[in-house]
Amino acid sequence: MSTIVHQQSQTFGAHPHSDGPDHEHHHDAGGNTVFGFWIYLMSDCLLFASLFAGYAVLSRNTAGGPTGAQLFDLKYVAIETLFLLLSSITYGMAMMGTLKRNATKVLLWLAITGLFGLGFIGMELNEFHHLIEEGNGPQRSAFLSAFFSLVGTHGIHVSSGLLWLAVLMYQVWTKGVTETNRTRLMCLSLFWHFLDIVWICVFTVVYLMGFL
Amino acid sequence: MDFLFGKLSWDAIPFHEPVAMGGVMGMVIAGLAVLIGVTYFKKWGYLYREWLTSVDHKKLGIMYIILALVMLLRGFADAAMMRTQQAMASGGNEGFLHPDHYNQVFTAHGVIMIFFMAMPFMVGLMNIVVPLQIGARDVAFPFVNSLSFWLTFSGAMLVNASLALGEFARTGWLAYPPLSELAYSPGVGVDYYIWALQISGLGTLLTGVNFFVTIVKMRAPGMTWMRLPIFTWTALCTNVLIIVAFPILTVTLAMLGADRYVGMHFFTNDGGGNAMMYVNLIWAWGHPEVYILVLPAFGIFSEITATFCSKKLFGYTSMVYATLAITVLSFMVWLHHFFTMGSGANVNAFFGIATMLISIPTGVKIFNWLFTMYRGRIRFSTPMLWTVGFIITFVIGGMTGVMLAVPGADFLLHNSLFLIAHFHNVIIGGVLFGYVAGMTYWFPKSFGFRLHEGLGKVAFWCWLIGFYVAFMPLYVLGFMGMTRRMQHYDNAAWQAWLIVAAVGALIIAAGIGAMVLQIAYSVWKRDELRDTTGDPWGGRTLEWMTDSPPPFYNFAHTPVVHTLDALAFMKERGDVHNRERYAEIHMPRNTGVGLIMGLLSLTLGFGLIWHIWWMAAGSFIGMIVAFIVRSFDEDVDYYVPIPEVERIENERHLKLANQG
Amino acid sequence: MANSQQFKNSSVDPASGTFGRRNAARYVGGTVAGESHASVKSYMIGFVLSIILTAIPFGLVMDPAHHGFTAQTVLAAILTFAVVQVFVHIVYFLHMDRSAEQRWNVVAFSFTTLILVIVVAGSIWIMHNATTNMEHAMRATSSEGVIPQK
Repeated sequence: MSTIVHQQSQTFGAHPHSDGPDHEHHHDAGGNTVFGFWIYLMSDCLLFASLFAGYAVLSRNTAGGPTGAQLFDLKYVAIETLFLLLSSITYGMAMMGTLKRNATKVLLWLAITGLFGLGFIGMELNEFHHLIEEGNGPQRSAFLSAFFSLVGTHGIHVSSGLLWLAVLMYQVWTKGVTETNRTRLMCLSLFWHFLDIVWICVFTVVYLMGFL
Repeated sequence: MDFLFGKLSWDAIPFHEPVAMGGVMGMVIAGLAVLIGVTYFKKWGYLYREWLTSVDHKKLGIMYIILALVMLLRGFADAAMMRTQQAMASGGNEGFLHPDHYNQVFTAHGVIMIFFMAMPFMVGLMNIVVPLQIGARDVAFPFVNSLSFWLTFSGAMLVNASLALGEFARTGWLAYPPLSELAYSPGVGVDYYIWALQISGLGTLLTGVNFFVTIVKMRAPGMTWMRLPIFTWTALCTNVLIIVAFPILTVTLAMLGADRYVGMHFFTNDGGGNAMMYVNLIWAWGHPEVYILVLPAFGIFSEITATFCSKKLFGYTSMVYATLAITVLSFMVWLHHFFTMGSGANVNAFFGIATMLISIPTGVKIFNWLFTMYRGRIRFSTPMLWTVGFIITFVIGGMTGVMLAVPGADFLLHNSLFLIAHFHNVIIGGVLFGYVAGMTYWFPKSFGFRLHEGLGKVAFWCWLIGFYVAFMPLYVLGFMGMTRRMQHYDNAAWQAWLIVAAVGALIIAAGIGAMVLQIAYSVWKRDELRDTTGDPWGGRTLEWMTDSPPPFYNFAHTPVVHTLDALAFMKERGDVHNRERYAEIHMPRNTGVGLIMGLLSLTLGFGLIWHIWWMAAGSFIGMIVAFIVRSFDEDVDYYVPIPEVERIENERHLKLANQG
Repeated sequence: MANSQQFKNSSVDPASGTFGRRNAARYVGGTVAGESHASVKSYMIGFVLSIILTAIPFGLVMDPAHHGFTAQTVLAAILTFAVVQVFVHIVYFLHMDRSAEQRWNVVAFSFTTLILVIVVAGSIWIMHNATTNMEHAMRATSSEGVIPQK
């Protein structure tokens, strides 16, 4: 039986990239990756949009339990917001280091970003823990289900970003600011700023509006 | 309930349900036959190297379509059972399916047909065709492409597993709460539903991103937007819809999952939950979903009509704008699926009008196809037959859709068999006919030989006639007041119509049989059906320029495009084959990581369904670890040396010279 | 016979343009989210603007008297500030602008925003109407325990 499709040529080793006319230039792979990641973030926008829609519909369904105004501490949220905003700036500084191919600068600023991020997550976990301890967990009412899911999903995204940050820091530390790492740093940058944007919507719609 | 096995026990196997056991035995025998066959012919190495770890869009596309065809058989088996049950169960006769089982059957039928037949079929065709049509060597993210397939595969396997272990959802294919909540569906059925869809949904979302970037960024030089082949245009719009619509499904199912697993109150009757919000959100996804399915079918019909009428597509520009209009409008009509839920007259009026508006660009398309046929040299090969069948059938279905768009009428017809007839009319007449036509059309490109024409025609006529015999009675029954999803009924006047419908299902079964036979026979007689030119139909677009099947790198030289219907133009100039100097070709390596992550997603889903937490946690962590390990892999691509390219291309030119 | 040389540096040609030695400065990924437009200055401006656009809404809400404004006004204000701050982030942190390089990102973002608005606003409109009509219906039968509470 003849082969239905040609066998892929796996025996040919990776060939050093030569710039002569024999070599067809590959397309802008790094640029495509960053663009692809941006498009994925667009889908993530709709993910959060759905969570916001759900929150908007359910925010008054407190089932006899506490309302947002009774639970939220705006000073606390202001500090969380500051942490996240600062982490965006420090990531920006890390990107400046990337432009200059300065691995040390990149690692330093990424570390600071990570610390701010951990601070944010720590505060959020503390807030959730506190609420659950008092019996105001997500099972208490539809409002609280929506609250925990929306804010929690944002938190899961930030946590994933922190894991990604750690892995990428290790990759930059061992291999330097290579083309691949630069693409990845760019993608994480988009991710990180995007999460800060979502947080703007969270603190406005959930926390501030909870008092209006 | 224990740590090792969660809720799983021997009770999960449906020993007491003969029909289910029959299905299980069928699946087990078929599965074993495949495994034994591969082992006997010693093909595991080949299978692993060439297919399971492939990142080649052409192979992934074939695997998607194989999955779709297999699941078509399962979904159709469900349909046949439903028709038989309804033909029997009048008055005193209870039929052969008790209600609990019947409910699972109609739920599985819908879930399988939409998520595991139509979607994979469509993604498969896009995979095979789009990179070739735009003159690219593969998609933007080949590894992600492989991952997408294996995630879809795992979702389908979970649905199949539900037949043998446990139960499936009894809620209908959209699993409305409160019925789908823990209080009323305490078993694992809805959990199978949720995880199968979440896992395969992720695969689909990744496909959307992948193909969007591919089409935007990897078109051949000179292929400006208005020179894009029409199928690729529809693929682009479909992928846009996937990117923005699927997250809504993800969130809605996650909310339902949160209610069931953690005791939240999104959609429960108590605690402030709002079941109506589920209906709203799920249809905000659900309506774009049906356009995701139908737009590529429209694209396929456009390609086929132009090719088989030997004429360029009439009104290409208006086709493009119509497609774009449908893409945006598809997000403005979703409430028409629940006019009766009580949002009131103003809301209903807005969505009813929007629904009627969306039929207009579709009408434009119909006229363009007809004008393409007018004064063309029409060849009624199988793909063209499917196309003509589609035009007639889809128009009828579309018209009944516009009837339903009138809220007043919908209040009477909602959830009656009239609705069922309408959507099957457009899905079978539009989506299924389109994909089968596309499969017949592009089969020779994938495999190097055509499908047998005679059996193809038999399949078409059986499907066409079978469809009308099966579904026209349902329109009548809708007007007679019969509700959907009835396991049993007391109105004897309905039975005759249901018997006719069952006969229609039998005719469709013959059509499916003819399709299976056609594939088997064509493989057996492939030497007689061989196509050595790469262009058996006289195509107008770039995919017909390559050999059949194409070399793994698709094009030795990236084609340069000057017009719409690039290949037709090249043929007129006598300028098709470029024998200039070859260059090294950059290709992605195969990898097993997609397969591993996919299989881990299967165990993840299974663990979550049966509350086997160690399995779920381990699988989840495993998936993340696999992905991180992959990120450390630097050997993910290679360059094909020039002598190898020369060898393959010379082989082809020799073949062309010999048959000329 | 045509060849790809005609399409050097065209945005349509994947085999030339924004990659390769010639364009090392306009690096891979410089095409998206404007790495080449990044500067310390833009982050600092963005930071200051964000602080202001955050402090004012918080200030307005945290004061029980809302500094003399009605709740309606404050609501409108904080939503406006949020939208503005989102744009500040987009321009100063994500470096989105009207350049040709950013074009596709802007298109994607605009379309996504359109769909987002339709889905969220549409859902709120629909659900508000549906829930209101439920309340009317319940009031009409005027009995508390119509829907069993578990």
